[in-house]
Amino acid sequence: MFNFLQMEYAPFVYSAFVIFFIVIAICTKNALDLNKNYLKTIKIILNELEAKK
Amino acid sequence: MNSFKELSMWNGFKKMLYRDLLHSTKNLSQLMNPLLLFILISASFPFAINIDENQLMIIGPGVIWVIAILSFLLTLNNLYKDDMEDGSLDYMLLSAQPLPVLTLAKILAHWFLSGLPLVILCPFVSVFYQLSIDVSMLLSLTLLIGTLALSLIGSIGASLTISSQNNTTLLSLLVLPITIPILIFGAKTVVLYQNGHTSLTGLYLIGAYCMFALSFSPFVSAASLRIGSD
Amino acid sequence: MMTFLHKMASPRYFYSISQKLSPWFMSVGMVLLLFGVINGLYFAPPDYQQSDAFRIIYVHVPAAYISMMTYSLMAIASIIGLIWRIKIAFAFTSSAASLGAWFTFLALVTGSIWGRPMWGTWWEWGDPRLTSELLMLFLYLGYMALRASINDTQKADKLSSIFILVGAINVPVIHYSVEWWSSLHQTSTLLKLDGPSIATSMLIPLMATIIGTMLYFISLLLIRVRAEVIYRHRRSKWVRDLILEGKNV
Repeated sequence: MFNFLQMEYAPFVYSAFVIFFIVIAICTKNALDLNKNYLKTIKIILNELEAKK
Repeated sequence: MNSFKELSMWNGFKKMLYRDLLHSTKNLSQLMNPLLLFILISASFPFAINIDENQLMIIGPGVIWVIAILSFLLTLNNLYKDDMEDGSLDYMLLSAQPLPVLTLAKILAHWFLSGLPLVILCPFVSVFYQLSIDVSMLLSLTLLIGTLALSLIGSIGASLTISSQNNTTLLSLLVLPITIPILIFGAKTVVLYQNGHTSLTGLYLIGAYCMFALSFSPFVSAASLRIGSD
Repeated sequence: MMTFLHKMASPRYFYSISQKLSPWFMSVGMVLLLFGVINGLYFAPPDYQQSDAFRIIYVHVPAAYISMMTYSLMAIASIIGLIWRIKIAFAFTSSAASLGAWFTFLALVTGSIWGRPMWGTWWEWGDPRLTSELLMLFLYLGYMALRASINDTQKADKLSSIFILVGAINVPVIHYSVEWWSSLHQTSTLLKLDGPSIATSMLIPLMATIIGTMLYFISLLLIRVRAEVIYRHRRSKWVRDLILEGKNV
């Protein structure tokens, strides 16, 4: 357990794992932002519809 | 009773084929441009690399294949767009003939007008790459079957993009991944022949791909045309 | 089960169900994923052939599985949407596309990083699995480009679904390419008839990461489809009730 930086090919292994988690973080951020943006757009549209009524 | 013969599928196919071959709206310069591009790009390649005869012979088949595919893809943009713009696509959709028959006729006409000239030009272009006569003949043969397969697959892409905006390169982007097997088999056949193997299994594989495309491409193009133009 | 699937076809029901389900999927998935990663990095024994570099398997295999799984999901959803005209299926297809593209990219990148110490090269053109996976990335990108270029949503849905179905032949090619052609990849170790041919101490973190990433992916997909569904039905009454008055669906 204490040799976690001295394992063979450590830079390759760690960079692969880091890239994996970075991509997952990007996807999560994209999904949550999409949700937020869509809700914002829909609120605007619905408020316009309500105001017109 | 004669009118039944007029409504037959073969008659419809024949009429559509003749219409596209003889009375299409393309003018001659529109047909010549991709061919001239083919010659021009093939000629520019040796300028960029070392003009070493052996090297040119090695890369020749692959390079000619890639340039052929790229210039062929340029001709596909107008396969259905011209008809959509002058309204004859609507007539095709409403006609009594099944739409796959008409799309197959259009694809064949397109192959005659754009694919066969490429095949005819190929032996002349392979002179740039110092390919011997038998190699260039084999290259032309693979291009013959390959361009038919390209026409078939390309018509799927053309029918999917008739209603797209800014689709100058969208068609190539959609079609190229699907045509990579043709490229692989076509170029590899010639390269293997150059290296001495005389069995032409690659040719059979391109033929198989072409037949496979023939079996579904008119139907898929017809379905996409119906969806895309309503 | 069939009633559940039938009810899922309704956008309102789907919206309420997915809102309840996705936090569970996300948390369970993340926990499993972290367990698998830590176990795989530190507690799994080093391989006798590949020493420590094999640990990349714990991220490479889940990414590759998911890239193929999403394409199959998109193909099935396209068939459902085209034949049965169930509109929510098109929402699934369009939401899964960008996730699938990211995971395909991830599979290619982690595989390339693994290949450098093992095979000596970042990329190997002769390997059929690599080239067909790259092809799949292009198919995803082509789908997204085609969708973006058509203005009418209904036309865009149907035409891009047809494109996905035309490219669907690629998925069995990727899967069976290691058996049909000689390649640097090895044949399947998990789905064999006489049980997995991998040591249990290495298998457990692998299954944990695979299942964890899959659950996490499903949660992300549900979030995106939810957003897509509510956007497509923005003019309907249930959306108005939901957003403006905060009524439950």
